[in-house]
Amino acid sequence: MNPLGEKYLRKNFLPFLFCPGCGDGMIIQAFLEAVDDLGIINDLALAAGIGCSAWIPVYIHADVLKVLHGRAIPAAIGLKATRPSRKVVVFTGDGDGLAIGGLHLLHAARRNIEMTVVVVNNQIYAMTGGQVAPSTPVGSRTQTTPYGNLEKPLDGCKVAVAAGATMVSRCSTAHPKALTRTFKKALTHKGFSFVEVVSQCPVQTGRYIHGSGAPQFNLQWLKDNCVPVDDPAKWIEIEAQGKIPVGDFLQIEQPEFMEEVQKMNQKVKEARAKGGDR
Amino acid sequence: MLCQYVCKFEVFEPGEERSALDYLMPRPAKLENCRVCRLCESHCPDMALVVVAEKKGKEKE
Amino acid sequence: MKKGRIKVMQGNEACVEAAILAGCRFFAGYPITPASEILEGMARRLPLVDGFCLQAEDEIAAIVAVVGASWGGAKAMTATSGPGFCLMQEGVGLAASVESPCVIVNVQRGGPASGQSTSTAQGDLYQARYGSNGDYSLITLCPSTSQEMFDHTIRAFNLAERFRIPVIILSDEVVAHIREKVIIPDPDQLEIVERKKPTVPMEEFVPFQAGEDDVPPMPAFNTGYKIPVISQAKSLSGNRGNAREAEVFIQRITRKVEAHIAEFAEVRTYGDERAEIAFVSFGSVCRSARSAVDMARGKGLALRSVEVKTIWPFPDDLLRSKLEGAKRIVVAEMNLGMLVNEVRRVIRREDIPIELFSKIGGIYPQPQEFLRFLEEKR
Repeated sequence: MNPLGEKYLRKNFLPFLFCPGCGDGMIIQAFLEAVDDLGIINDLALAAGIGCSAWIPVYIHADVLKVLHGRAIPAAIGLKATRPSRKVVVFTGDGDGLAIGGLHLLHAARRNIEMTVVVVNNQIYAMTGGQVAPSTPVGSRTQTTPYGNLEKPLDGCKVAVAAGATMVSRCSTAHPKALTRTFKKALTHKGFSFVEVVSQCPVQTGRYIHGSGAPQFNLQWLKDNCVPVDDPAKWIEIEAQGKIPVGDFLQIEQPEFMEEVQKMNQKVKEARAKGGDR
Repeated sequence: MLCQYVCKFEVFEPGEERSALDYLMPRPAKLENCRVCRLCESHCPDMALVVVAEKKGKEKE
Repeated sequence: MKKGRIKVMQGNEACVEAAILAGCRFFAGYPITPASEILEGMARRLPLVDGFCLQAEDEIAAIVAVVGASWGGAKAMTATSGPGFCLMQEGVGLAASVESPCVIVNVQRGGPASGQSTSTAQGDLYQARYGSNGDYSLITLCPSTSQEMFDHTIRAFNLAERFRIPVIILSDEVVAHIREKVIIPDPDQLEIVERKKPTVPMEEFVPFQAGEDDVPPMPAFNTGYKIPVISQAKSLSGNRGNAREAEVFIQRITRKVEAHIAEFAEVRTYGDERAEIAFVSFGSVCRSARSAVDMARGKGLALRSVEVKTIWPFPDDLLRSKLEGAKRIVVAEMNLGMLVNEVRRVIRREDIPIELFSKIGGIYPQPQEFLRFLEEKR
């Protein structure tokens, strides 16, 4: 067996339930390479909701909390707050994370609580059979937009930036080495890190939107349409061409939430001990 | 069969063995062409293979 | 009588006091009348004990954060009222499914929907038991005084840890805001229960396999167990279960509570235990029922007030024994008839009338109304 898999996969749950050619398996591999490099498997606490991408952490031999649709982030906050030294990673999808879970994304980013939120964007609701998602391109014919999608897609990265995330990057499964590198960066970032991974879904997005269910076709689609960009200022150019810019968009340093909480607790306890602040 | 697709050196071919889920697995027919670029390894959605550089061989799950 | 100190406090304050003493170190909530004082109290108190209080972005975030915190290893609580309780229902089912101990306070107010935010009611009784989807079991406690709010909060945490369930404290606006004497025992006088931890190493640990008592040991995350906890119906290893495994799982998580009702059921009688006329009530209505019993005694009429303290799972046997000898039963509640259905289900006697004294609209029933009810409906 692949030594990375031997070391880190939950063997009694194999094989992966993902469709042939699904990007989720590639994300697992890239993530495990990052985890291996950093040696953090024992500190990991993984959270997920519902959807194909929500099964990613279950295959990893670590503590995993897979909750309700859209609610991985609140679960992650509960885990982080009870032991801030945990390395909390959320795996969510474009539906789970940007539709039903959108509110929680906004507020976790706003708080700059240290955790990594990975949004696996396959531009559709795949697990339930191919319904339109907040990230589906205009005009796409899906199970719930049989005459063509009339809604503009939401850019998860822009939402994360606006909400206050202090690290925002986009990758794709067509660039697995860059994905590993970005995971490493996110896992060592002090604050809220947001990583969007554009991923292939041959069975739903491939068949309904791109015109072919072949994994090779869908991987090629990603290679053709996800353009690596070094300078965040150039993102807007790439978007104007109708392509998807991938790369690091933002990384800044801001006070991290749990650290601020601990500082406050300390101050309050000291003041109380001196008979002050009630 | 993404390994076959991404490999620039035509190492892979459709094989005859089937996997646990009954899919036809690819096999490294032209192993001598391998340049250890590891594109196959990093693009496999099932983490099914690893390129072992010293022996210039491939292990499959 | 326990050693302790005496404080005059509101029910909501008593809840905070008790939660901290029970070991609660994580609270997540959302402002809602008449429960906001609990969130505010926890915000003031938790930092002093290295705990964490979160005002979440909505009630759904609050309950799911509580479940996360429970798996993080902490005793966790949330508090809300009817509208927030509705939002939390999926989360209640989640807590039941992943078997995470937690306490949920629902301070009932007028419903439906936004209802009457500052008035009392008891319309959430069924929701406390059946609000979430599918089959599960949990325990619901009903305080009627600030002291009971204190005692039930300690109890709620203990029962949650014992059974690995969400425990609901079904309070109401009267109990939340009334100010009265509470005896707070010294910490060494309190019995505090902690969840069972695994006694075998990870390689031998089967996460959802239980012994005789149907409650599996629960490791906290990052203590060397690496366990998969999913919200689906699960097999013993924690993976999605097939039909047979799902059946076994659902049976176990309900049986673990329902088969042990005798361990925690509490129904109390005030007044003459053999009186032929009995009131049955829960929550703040018990206060008025007690006063009615006292008033009637003054007029030479013997009454008994039967108060249900653990209302779910419904204490069939205990209630039947407390109502033994009653020839007329009046169920008093601030809704259009919920507890009365349970009483009728349990006391199936053609010769004993079981009447409903229903009071809605947010106006609390006065003791004299109980006696008037007895007269008018004779």
